[in-house]
Amino acid sequence: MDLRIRSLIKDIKEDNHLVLKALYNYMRPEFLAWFSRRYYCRIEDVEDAYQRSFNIFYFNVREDKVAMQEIKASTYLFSIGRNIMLQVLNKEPKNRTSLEDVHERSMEHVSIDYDMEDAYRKEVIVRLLNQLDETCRNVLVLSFYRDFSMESIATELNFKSESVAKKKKHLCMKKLKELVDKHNIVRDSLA
Amino acid sequence: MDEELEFEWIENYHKGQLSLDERQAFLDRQQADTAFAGKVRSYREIMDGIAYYGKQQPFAETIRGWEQEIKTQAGAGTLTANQTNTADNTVPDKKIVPLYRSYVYWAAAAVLILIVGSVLLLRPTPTETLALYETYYKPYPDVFNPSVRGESSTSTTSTREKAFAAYRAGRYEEALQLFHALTGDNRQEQDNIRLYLGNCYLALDSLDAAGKAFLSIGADSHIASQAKWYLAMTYLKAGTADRAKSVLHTLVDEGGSYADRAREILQKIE
Repeated sequence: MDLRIRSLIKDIKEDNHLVLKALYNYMRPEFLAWFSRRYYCRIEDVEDAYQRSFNIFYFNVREDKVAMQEIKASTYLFSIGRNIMLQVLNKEPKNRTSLEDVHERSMEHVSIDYDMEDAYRKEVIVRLLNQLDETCRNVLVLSFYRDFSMESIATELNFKSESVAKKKKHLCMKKLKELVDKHNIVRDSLA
Repeated sequence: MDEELEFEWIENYHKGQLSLDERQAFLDRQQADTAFAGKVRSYREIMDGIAYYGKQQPFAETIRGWEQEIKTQAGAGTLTANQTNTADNTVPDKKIVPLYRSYVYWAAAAVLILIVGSVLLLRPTPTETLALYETYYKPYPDVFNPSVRGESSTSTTSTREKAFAAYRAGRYEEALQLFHALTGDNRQEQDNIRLYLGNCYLALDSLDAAGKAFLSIGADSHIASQAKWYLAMTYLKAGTADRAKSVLHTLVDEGGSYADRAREILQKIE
């Protein structure tokens, strides 16, 4: 099941959930074991990293953003995982050097993607949005993803008026920006 | 400038809603004021991130569903249950034996080799799968539009009714065009349309398009089982027995109304 990315493209683009689920289940145990051993974190963080990595993997393959299509799916996923740990979850590697680390999984500096920095920045926002309350998330998603007007947001979310919705949107955006700034301070201290 | 107004200005720039003069003033400020330029960059990243959140949400939900299934199946003996929260929130540095190095891996590999070998030797031919398709395939009945059954078309008949009338009469090309014209008011209705579109394609031998239509119906849909059944029919008609078996196995596992028929077909091709 650990196939080359090239051989999975068709199924992923066709959204073949049977193949995707089998791939997800297949790669999960090795991912959890490898990252649990090498990072200072809880197993829940590694599970979180796996879900985020698989999500990015899926969208990058669908959108032709994988430069090296001959590599194995797991190699690509591990490469994403390492960046998710550091850049999104702010988790440090234990930096142990052993023979086990000299493995295909350690191809950190090989360029697999065209531009992943943007994907990790977006993944940070996804993570922080989940820390906001549901109303905030809905206001922001309706505004910036579904492009709703403030009037439509007020109707959709039962706000008293357009101006109340607008105020709420600004407050939510402010909260999110504070979280992003805090995240960046921690991440920069790890770099 | 007031913070709220400043953000609104940035947002309007981001959404391309500034007039030419306003846009120029914005760019001038961005050029002259590095702090403002930093805010613009930061807000743009946030706005792009929110849009990405919306886009990835359906697939993220699917992944959460798979994760839930894994945990339910693993029960109390999962790795998670064995973890304790230490003061610094780290995992105790204990050895976890990766699956690929354990005997389980080798056992699984052996089973896989046996399965692959037997599949290669005993794989059903396309003629056999086509015969199964012909035995089991019946177009999905018009269960969503019963009120118009038996009525003749009039000038006031809606596109939806015309689509179903053509479908019931077996005029699949006409039905296909009419179903394509329907958008569906909600997800349930959109999935219904996809199911009938898939059936039209299947009847017309456009198997790729049929497969795509059935695959576009999500696992959490109210007609997920129906979509799987017709996807299996598509694979049988296409002669891709492995794919058909994979889908049929999930129908058997789910134990719904298609489970018996799926089991019957599996017994014939395995």
